[in-house]
Amino acid sequence: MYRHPALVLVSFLIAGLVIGRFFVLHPLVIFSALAILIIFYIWAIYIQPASRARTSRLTPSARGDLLFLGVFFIGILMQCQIVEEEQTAQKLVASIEQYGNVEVVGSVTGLPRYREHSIFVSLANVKVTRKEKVWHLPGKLQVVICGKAKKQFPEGSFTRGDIVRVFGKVQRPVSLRNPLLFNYAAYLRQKGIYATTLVYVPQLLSIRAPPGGRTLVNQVLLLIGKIRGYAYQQFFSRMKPENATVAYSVLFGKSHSINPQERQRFIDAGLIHLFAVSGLHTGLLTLVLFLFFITITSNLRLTIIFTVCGLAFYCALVGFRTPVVRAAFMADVYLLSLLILRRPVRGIDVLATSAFIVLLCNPRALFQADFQLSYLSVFGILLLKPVLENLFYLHPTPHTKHRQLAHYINKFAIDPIQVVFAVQIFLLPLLVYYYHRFSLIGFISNIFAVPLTLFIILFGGLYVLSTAILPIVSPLLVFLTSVSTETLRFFTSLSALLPFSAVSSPPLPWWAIGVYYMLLLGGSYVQGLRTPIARLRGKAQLLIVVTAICALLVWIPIVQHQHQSMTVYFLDVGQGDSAFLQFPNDNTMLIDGGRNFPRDMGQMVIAPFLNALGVEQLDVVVATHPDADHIGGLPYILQNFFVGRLIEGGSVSDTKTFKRLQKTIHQTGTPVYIVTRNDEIKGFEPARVMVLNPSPDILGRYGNNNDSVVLRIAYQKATFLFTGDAEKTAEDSMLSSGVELRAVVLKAGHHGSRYSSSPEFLDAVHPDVVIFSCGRNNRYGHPHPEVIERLKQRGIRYYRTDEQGCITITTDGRYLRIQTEK
Amino acid sequence: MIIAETVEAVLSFFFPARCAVCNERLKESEELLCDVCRQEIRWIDLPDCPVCGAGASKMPRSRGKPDFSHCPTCPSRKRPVYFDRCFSAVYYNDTAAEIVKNLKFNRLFSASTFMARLMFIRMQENFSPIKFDCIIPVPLHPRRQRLRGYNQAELIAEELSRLIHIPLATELLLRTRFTKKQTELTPEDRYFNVNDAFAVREPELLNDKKVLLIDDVYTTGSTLNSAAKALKLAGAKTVIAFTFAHS
Repeated sequence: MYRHPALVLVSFLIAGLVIGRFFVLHPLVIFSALAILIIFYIWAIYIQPASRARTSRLTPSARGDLLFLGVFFIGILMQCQIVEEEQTAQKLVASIEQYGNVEVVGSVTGLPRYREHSIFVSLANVKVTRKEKVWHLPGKLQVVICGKAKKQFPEGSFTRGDIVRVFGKVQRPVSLRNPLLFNYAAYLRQKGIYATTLVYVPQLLSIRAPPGGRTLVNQVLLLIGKIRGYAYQQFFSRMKPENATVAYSVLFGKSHSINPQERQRFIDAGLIHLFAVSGLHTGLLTLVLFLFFITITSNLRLTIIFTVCGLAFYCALVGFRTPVVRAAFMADVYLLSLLILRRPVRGIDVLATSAFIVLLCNPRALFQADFQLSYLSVFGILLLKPVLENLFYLHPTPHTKHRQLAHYINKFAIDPIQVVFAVQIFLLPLLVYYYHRFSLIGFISNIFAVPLTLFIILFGGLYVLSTAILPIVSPLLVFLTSVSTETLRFFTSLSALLPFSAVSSPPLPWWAIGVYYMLLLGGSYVQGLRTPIARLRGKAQLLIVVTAICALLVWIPIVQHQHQSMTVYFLDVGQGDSAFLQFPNDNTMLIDGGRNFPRDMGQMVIAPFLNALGVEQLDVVVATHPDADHIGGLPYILQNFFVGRLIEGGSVSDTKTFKRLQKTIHQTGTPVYIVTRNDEIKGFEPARVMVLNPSPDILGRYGNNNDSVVLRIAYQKATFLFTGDAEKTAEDSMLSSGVELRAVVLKAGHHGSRYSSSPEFLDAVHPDVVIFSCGRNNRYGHPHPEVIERLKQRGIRYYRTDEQGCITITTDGRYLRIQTEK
Repeated sequence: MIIAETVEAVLSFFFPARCAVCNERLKESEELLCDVCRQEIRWIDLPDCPVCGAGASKMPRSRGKPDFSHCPTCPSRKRPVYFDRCFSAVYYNDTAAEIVKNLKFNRLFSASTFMARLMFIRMQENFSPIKFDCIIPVPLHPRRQRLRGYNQAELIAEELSRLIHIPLATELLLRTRFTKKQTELTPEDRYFNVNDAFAVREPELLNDKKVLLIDDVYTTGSTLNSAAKALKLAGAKTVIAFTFAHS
């Protein structure tokens, strides 16, 4: 007899899903295991001879164990299937990619997701046709509808189950891949989307209802889409756009539409979860619906049924995302259990059951952030709230004067604080893992922000309702919504601006996360046991909380001290160069900053990456030469980080990008140093940084590329050569000058152009590893096959950022460890 | 039928029933309470007080026998008593209190079945065979009922009416005044809090009727007395109060 069978069940399923991911078993093995289990189960219950039953009949708990084992195997099976699907789909998409434009037909799964400039639609049962060739894609394909085509399909014009026909290129999802940063392609893969098709022109796209007509459910979903589009219009027509975005996002959970600065402020203030529609919203809605229906029907049974329906409707309204499905499921099961079982169910049982069902329907959810955050936050509340209640709670004696007051203080002040505290404590490692930032102000800001959010939800929801039903009160409601949104935004920026509101932290190693949770779980378990420790109550529990916090505090320095070695990141910034170096003495250097067009790599990649690493200061920034693909992202870095010195080679240019950099240098007052051959950049001991190029004899005479700053960085035996865009002229100049060129790692000059990395130069450098920093399918054809041939002839290993993402090289001065992104 | 059973079986696998008091998982044979906690339930020991139904062990002793004329929980010694007799099933100890609390505040509706069953057993044991015309639960004020969503006395009465086959009349007796919670008041205030808080909607229906008045707990009898007063004034012939627990 387990206390919480559902919890055990879901644990077995999760174990199966995790194991299936790391050990790929043959489906036959699992099938046979399952079959044996089922046969044994049936035999044990039904066929086993009655005469022997008395001695060996399975007890109910043994039957339960068998069930758990079965679920475990099902978990493995589901995960194996996902892995297999992923592999076949990726191969297939890669082969379709070569055919160029094809016809794609599929049915919409899930709800179309509307963004500012595009609509995202996932298709299942996809058929791809090219003349007489037909492919059936496993998994899903994402159609991105932009431009004019988007205008043809306003929200609510099509829905789940509709047939989409589109002409275009089928492509593998691509994105820049850098450690610690969000990888959109991996995110899509996680969701089972292995291909994307982009469509701008309305003529190339058609969406129709399925031949048999839409089902009832899909018709309801269509209506809901219309309602959502209507609500969107109502918000944006009557409110300031910034307020409208925040209010709409709070109500419908669309944090994507908020601009990045505002979003970052919400993250720093620890309030980003307000946009993940979840328990907060569902709880309020349940309360409102319940009170409304009980007032008009005064019948508990009807009220419960109506409330359950209302919650399901809201679920559809916000697009069936995991947090809200979880919350609505929990509320629904709770209410229905009152009707069917005539008793309330335990939070932990409902939580586990809903996790079990969600995972059974969509096993991919397990590795998705919103699933993990949503479920673990509730688990944290259920686990830690009682502990906290025992610690800090007002316990008035009966019949005292202030009993009622104490009750209200408990309910409206202490309870919310404890909930926030429990969530923050429990999610700490996970939040650090996903956001690399942890909000300290979150403990306080939530206490004020949550009630404000409740007002926004209440007024906003009523406002949309009123525009349709009772337009006379809508001006008042829109005013109230605006005021509460404005207050929330003001409050958020205030919290975010406070010093130490948020701290950056490198992600904890997995074992640290494990130990952290084991301490928390163990602590709570001990607290739950009827042991002498439990009798200590307050003290023991305080001990648990304190150990948990200490455990974390102790680890942070451990993690940070790993950087005794030197690490070089060749960042994936598309076509362009950017490398970030962390030296053994903890000083940092950034060599180049990628492009600023079409997207500013400084803002999009480098700054978030540095934030994630917890780097706030760059001791040296090197702008090798004034080309846009090297300095484009630097202005943003100069503006947002403390930069000790900027190193240049002395070449100038009259491009806009270069002028922008000069202007930013002027504005920020960053000291600039012009270096030349045989200079040494100090400050990185024990590593040595030598300048090999430019030299006065070629400066300004053979083009900017040949004036690139070339650096040789040596940390004991590990040597790196950063060549910028240096071409043959510069290489020859370096060769003839007799400077030390030998290096273990060479960043190929000019992204692997054939006018760089000449055979003589390669022989002189004699690298073991060559890095190409270039963009996928770039129009220059970098790296040039000729260069790759030169490397192959010499047996030199090479890595490409376009194929392998960011390349991370860690060295202790003797050995290199090279990591690439998936 | 099979579907309903399967649904219930699946539900009780995911959401196993737990003891209302100690939270342990229940065995299949157990209802509401685990066997350990069940032991804690104490029946009112007979003979009980002929007015309020308090058990013999609560009475002051005179010459070795319980002295019912000095019953400590009877309202009779101070004010007129309107109900003819009150019965209770069990003592209001920690276990009973926990059950009542779970029914009242934690929506443990199945507790009402359990309570009604105990009350039914009690009824079979020592009620004189009165033939009741109707069962009336002590009502909540509509506002309080809205907040709570249900009336716990009504739930118990429903179950009891099913067991003894006597019709339930919920609309007859009304609470006309929104009163404070009795549990927050001193015994003296309790009387004034509920006095004249009840009214009968259609008195002619009650004329010459024998009424069984149901509530969850008897503490000072103020609530029951006030409700019985309204019933009696409306013309009820007999009002027998019956509660699950007696303090």
